[in-house]
Amino acid sequence: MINFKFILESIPSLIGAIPITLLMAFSAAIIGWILGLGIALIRKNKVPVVSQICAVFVSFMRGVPIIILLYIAYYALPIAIYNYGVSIGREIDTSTVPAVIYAIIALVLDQAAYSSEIFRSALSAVDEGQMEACYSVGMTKSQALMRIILPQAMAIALPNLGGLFLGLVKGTSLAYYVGVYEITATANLLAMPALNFIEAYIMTTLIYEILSFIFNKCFRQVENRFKRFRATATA
Amino acid sequence: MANMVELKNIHKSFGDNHILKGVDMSIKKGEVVVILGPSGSGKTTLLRTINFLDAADEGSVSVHDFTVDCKKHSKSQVIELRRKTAMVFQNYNLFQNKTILENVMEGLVTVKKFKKSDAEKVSREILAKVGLAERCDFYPSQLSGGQQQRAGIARALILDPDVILFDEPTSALDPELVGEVLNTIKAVAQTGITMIVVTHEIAFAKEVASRVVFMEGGVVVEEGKPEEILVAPKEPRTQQFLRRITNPNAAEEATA
Ligand SMILES: Nc1ncnc2c1ncn2[C@@H]1O[C@H](COP(=O)(O)OP(=O)(O)O)[C@@H](O)[C@H]1O
Ligand SMILES: [Mg+2]
Repeated sequence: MINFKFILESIPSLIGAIPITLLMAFSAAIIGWILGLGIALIRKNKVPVVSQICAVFVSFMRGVPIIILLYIAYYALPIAIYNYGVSIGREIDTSTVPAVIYAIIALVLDQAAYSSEIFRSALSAVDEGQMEACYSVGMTKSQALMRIILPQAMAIALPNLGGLFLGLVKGTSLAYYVGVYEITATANLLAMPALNFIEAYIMTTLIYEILSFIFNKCFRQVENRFKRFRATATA
Repeated sequence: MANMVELKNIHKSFGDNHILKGVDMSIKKGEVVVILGPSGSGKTTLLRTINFLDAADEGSVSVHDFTVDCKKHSKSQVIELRRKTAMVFQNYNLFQNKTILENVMEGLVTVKKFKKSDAEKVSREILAKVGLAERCDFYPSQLSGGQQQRAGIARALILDPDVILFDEPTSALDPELVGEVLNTIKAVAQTGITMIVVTHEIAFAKEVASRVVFMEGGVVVEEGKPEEILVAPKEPRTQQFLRRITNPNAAEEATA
């Protein structure tokens, strides 16, 4: 039977774990997407060498399971930092760095790679005539990008970014494996003593569903704001 | 100042394709030059080399005594040259994410550093002149092609350029909308601004052109006053072209 007492008692702890999930999702999205946009612009403008490095990075990232990325960040990064410290003659203590930082680093890299592809196709979807019109009135390239090209590319990218973000929120559950007490880890921990796994997973599912629902709504709102110029009605 | 626009020995290739083969052109202040020529003869490319949307491989471009060498030009030279010119595009190319009013204001605010309120005032005035006073707050996607093109003309005019480049401004329009745009361009021509217009509208050319240039195969074949070129062209290629576009049926029969 379902243990409703357990469910009720677990609610506060599970809700208490939401902030750490959101912290990972938002920091990974904000930093990762800025990097992704940078990568997209570099590749679109075919900046020599950097552009090729970005291409390799993206293709590598897309091939790696995110859990492996998390393990690499969690186990390999501290060693790398320690060795770097030794090489410059300092002993850097990495043990005080919370696990969530490594999880965020892994998620940032993942988001950078995937969002760069979204931004790249969105930038290509903006009509080339738009850039030419900017030049024809005397704008510089950066003025054109900031004022005309990026706002249009954003409107095109938003639905896909929304999907990417929902995937990211769920993806943060993998941080459990490197010891971050986010929603899934907390549910497991609560379930353990009396083996209330079914109840714990029902609750976990419910929380992710609610989060997805809310974020989906938010993205729709933002999309509509960005898309208002794409009205089809003719005057 | 000798000439408002001066093109010297313009050459342009795309890959192995030699498109412009040494074009020279001198245009005085206030002249309205109409460029005619068959599709693919390099008319668009020539206009685009003037504002460096395509940089020519050889030659030089001068606008209002500011000369840029096409072979070695700096970014800042190109920007300065572009700020002396404006362009009206075949597909309007209005900024899709901006309203009509914002489209017109954009160059003033971003490039000429006008205060927003000043820019808005003059932009509304110019939009009223092209008959779009009621459409200021619409987005381009909400307007007809003719309205969009008139907004495109307003966007070019507001910058007070030394020369406006028109690339087939009416050829993407439904036939019933061509007239309103041509009338707007005529009104612009009467203000005495220097213009270069690529078009296939012969009647329009007769009326507004101070000079007609016929291009084919990347060179200027013949140029002169509209009554010379449009009525009694000397070159067989010009004669043939005019016959074809003034009487398309005859051309079809001839090739059939
Ligand atoms: N960006 C480009 N890349 C390659 N070829 C081009 C490009 N732009 C124009 N061309 C070629 O140059 C020739 C002249 O084009 P264009 O100047 O548009 O002619 P027109 O405007 O007289 O019809 C055409 O054969 C066209 O295919
Ligand atoms: Mg053309």
